[in-house]
Amino acid sequence: MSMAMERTTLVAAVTGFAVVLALDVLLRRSGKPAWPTVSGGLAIVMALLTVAVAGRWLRESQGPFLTLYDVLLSNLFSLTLVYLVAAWLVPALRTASAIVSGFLCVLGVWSLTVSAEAVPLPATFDNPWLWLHVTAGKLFLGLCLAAAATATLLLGRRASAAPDSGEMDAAVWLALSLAFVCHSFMLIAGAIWAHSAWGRYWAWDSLETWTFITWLCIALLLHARVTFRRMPVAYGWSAVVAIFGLAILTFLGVPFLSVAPHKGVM
Amino acid sequence: MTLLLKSVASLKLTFVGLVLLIANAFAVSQWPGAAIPWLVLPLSVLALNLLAALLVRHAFRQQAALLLFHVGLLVLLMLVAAGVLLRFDASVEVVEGTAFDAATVTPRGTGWLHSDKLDEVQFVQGPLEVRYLSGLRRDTTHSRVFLTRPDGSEIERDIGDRQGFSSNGYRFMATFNKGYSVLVQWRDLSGRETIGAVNLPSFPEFEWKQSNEWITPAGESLTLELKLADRIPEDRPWLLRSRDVDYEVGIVGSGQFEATAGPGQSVAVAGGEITIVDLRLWMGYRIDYDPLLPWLLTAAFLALAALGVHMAQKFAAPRAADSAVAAGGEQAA
Ligand code: HEM
Repeated sequence: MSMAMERTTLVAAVTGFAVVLALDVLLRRSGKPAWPTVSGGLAIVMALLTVAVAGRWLRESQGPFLTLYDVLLSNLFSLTLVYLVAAWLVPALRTASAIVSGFLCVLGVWSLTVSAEAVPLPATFDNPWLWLHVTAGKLFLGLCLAAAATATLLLGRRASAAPDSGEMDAAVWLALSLAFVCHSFMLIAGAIWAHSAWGRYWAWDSLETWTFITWLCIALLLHARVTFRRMPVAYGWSAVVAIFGLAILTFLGVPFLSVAPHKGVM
Repeated sequence: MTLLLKSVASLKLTFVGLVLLIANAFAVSQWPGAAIPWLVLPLSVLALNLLAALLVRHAFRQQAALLLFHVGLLVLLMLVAAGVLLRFDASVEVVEGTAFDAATVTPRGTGWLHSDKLDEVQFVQGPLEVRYLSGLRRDTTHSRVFLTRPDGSEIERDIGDRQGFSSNGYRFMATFNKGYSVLVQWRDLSGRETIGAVNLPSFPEFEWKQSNEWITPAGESLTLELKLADRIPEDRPWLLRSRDVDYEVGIVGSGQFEATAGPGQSVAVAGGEITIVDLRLWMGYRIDYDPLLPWLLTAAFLALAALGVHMAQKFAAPRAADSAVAAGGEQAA
């Protein structure tokens, strides 16, 4: 697939997110069930993203792991997939679909503004633990997005004095807890990869440090729920949203602001 | 005593410990050098807190997987601490055709309890090749080494970016750091000959600065500069190796002394004569000793599995888990 085709497919996918968002809002406003249309729409967008990722992968003969564009493109794919599967399994997560589509649309627009030129992967990236590390990271971010979007909706409902949903609250904590498990695996697989690539399993480079901070923040939040049982629920939801913000900064900000060895060296 | 144990086991202390650890990790992101040693403080608080909690908290007794996860965390922490005390981290440059010499190693971090067995490591550096893609992008590294095992037998290993080798518990990893080395022979005025290697800066990273100082056995300071006949091709793949390289060596000494010598040529300098014997490559290795690594990995996977089971149990039977948690809150034991 040529680069032009890849970009066109991506533009179509980003437009798809916008259309799904609009349909979602319209259907919910008119009191009709939104999920069948929304999930169908997201599945089509996912198919477009699959084509874009696979086309790029085949053309460049390497996975989308390195540049900001690679990471944005692969995350658009994985976040959509993880959200769709999570919402299919846990219906309470479906309520936040508009927030998810809106977020993915913004991410998509961002991906269209950055350079799509491929940079060859350093030899150290040729390692199965990297695959597991990346997969776990994508699962983490997808689950975290599902949790944060649902928490945002709950916060909105609180503000407009609409009734809380116990099921949605439970879904937030389920998604965040599973995200924590995935994050833990990501850290372990990353450490194994780092050890084989650079001879050390941990080096406190900025990406590692911020990833560790994110992990600790989730542990802190899970603990806070057990320790301060009378903590207002809105505090917990706000913290979930903040953790997602931190995770996005860590995944999409830190690696591209630092010269961490994660980028590979000549 | 039990009262003291219970207060040390407080979940509020866990909260404080975690907040301190996060603050410390943030400090590490800003000032890595200064802040890393301070991690000991929150980690010690959390370790004591967790140890006490494991002894007295009901929540752990009722939820085996949660218990195992936290035991795993504690074991991990202890293994990391022991690893820091035992570990050895260093770098070394070894020239093609020469034997590894422990005396040339540059340590970067030596644990207080590390007992040095590095001089028992024996290997000879074989030929080295680094492939580059066009645009001078590093591809694969092939560094052949001839390793002498403790029983005296020899094995040959091909070391690359993903494949290091271990000897005596020390792991040697090839790094991206490698360069040329000029093999020189020194002959003093009485005819005595010695041979030595002058390693030049990393190549091709410092292609523009291929010179280094060498003090001759007569005490004269010389600067050797490698002059390569060909520039690195940027528009096609390229192979870095020491064979078939067209070169000369510029020799600059005190008092305006300047000469150029090709392979096999000699130049008379103060106190003797220097002969350019050969051009070789040196390979930069990272040496790492951490005997507890397999245990660390086992503990990490056990903790992860336990965490997974805990979460599965908790969300498969939310009511049951919730009541267990309620029993294990601040009023535990
Ligand atoms: C250092 C002292 C620690 C103590 C005393 C402690 C204690 C506890 C206790 C009593 C629970 C029970 C909560 C429940 O049943 O849901 C718990 C849960 C948990 N702890 Fe810790 N913990 C400590 C450290 C940590 C650390 C460092 C982490 C990870 C970074 C961690 C992660 C967790 C997780 C993930 C849960 C499960 C929460 C949930 O099910 O929602 N803990 N901890």
